Amino acid sequence: MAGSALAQAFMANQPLLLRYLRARGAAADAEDCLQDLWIRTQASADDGIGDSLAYLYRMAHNLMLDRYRTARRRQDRERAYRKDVEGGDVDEAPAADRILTSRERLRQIDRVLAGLGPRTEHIFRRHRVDEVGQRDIAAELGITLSAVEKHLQKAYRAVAAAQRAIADGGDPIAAGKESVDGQR
Amino acid sequence: MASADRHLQDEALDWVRRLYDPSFADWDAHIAWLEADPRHPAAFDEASLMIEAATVELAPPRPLATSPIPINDNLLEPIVPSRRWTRWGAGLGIALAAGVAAVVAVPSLMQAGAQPFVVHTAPGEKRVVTIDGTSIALNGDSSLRLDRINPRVAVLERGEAFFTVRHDAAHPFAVQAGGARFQDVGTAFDIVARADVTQIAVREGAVLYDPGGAAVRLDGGQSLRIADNSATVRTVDAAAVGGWRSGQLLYRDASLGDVAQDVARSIGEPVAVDPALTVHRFSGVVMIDADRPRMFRRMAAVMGVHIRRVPQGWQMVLPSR
Repeated sequence: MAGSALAQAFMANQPLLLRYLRARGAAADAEDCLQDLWIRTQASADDGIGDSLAYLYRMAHNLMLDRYRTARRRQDRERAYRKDVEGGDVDEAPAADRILTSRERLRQIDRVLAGLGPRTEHIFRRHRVDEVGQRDIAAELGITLSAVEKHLQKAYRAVAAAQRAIADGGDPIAAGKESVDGQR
Repeated sequence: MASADRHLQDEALDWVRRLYDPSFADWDAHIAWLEADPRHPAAFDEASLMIEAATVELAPPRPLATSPIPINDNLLEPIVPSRRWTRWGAGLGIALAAGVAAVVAVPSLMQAGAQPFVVHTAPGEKRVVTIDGTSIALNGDSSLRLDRINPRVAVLERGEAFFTVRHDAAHPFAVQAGGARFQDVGTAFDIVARADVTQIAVREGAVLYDPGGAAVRLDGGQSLRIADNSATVRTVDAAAVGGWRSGQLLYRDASLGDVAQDVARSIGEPVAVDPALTVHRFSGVVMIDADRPRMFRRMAAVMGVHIRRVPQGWQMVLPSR
């Protein structure tokens, strides 16, 4: 396994990967992250990988996101737990809260996207859900790559503003609209 | 919001957009940006998760109805959603799976282009369906929708099913029941979809409830009951989960209404519960037995109720003494 193309690329590019992990904020954990990355490399089937280094960067990117997600969830849980203990209801309340928000969230995001116009909405869903490359979307619609990028930038900002408003208990629709107005 | 903050966030969002492209390759520029300002890495992580959280379970696009601009020939063909589960190409799914909660977009389960088919069972009938290495045992009076195109999704429309999932980290098996979503993490589990209650119990492995949102992980020996917009996690006897397949129904602190529904599904006859019994709870085992009178005599004894034959089927009532 250590002789695979991916493993060889890992061996050859350790300093670059370490630099990337540090750039992503791994700080003192960078060496540990590199170990994790190596383990993932070992578990990965590596046939059909074009650019090994780009692939390794992609894996490192996913690794760092996983770490960040895990840390975030832990914080959320601890916060929810403290709230529950004070409220006297330990087991059931947090899940119930979150179910409501997750359904409501999707509805709000749908409304924000609808407010951006059919073309922007279509391009955002094509990119984010179907995971089609931006160049391919441009070809599908017969528009330039930079036009696709502009649609996506608008959608990303509106969705992020809405999501932030949801997290803060604000009005996501207004926040989404405001982000678009701010770009004009 | 201060405009400097806003600028930083917009930049971070733009990197999230660029990296999400399957063909992204400009890692040098990305690293240069990350290193340019100590606030950049955190802003990037923040933006990544923000967009991720906002777009889980987002529906795929509908084809654009009309186009005000010149149309390419390739637009005349229908826009077919790409394969759902490929993310960054083959192989990387394994890496993602190493973190249990790998966020995989679970779009609406039956896509445009799906070829759904439905498997039904009559009350009292049991059936096992095997699709792509996954075995699904269907209890009586149940309805399950599957897709010929994507064998990794199932919608339990009614009744109860026990799933023994062939685990494939790159293509998680997703189940929808009563508006709730579940995703396997290497698993054998049971789902009941009643009119107002959805309940899942995990026998082996783990299942993510609401994989895109709350991502509540349920391990073997845990169950989740969703009713009235609230969810309750309980511990159950893992070995008893799916026991209905061999005629054993095991309960811990269950309402008699739930027990009655389960029994009715198994025997194919209605079982009613007297309203006076709604506060009663039951813990124990019910054995399904072809000798119905004997079965109900035993049930009545262990549940501390009286069960009588009525024209429509059976009825649980308070003991007469």
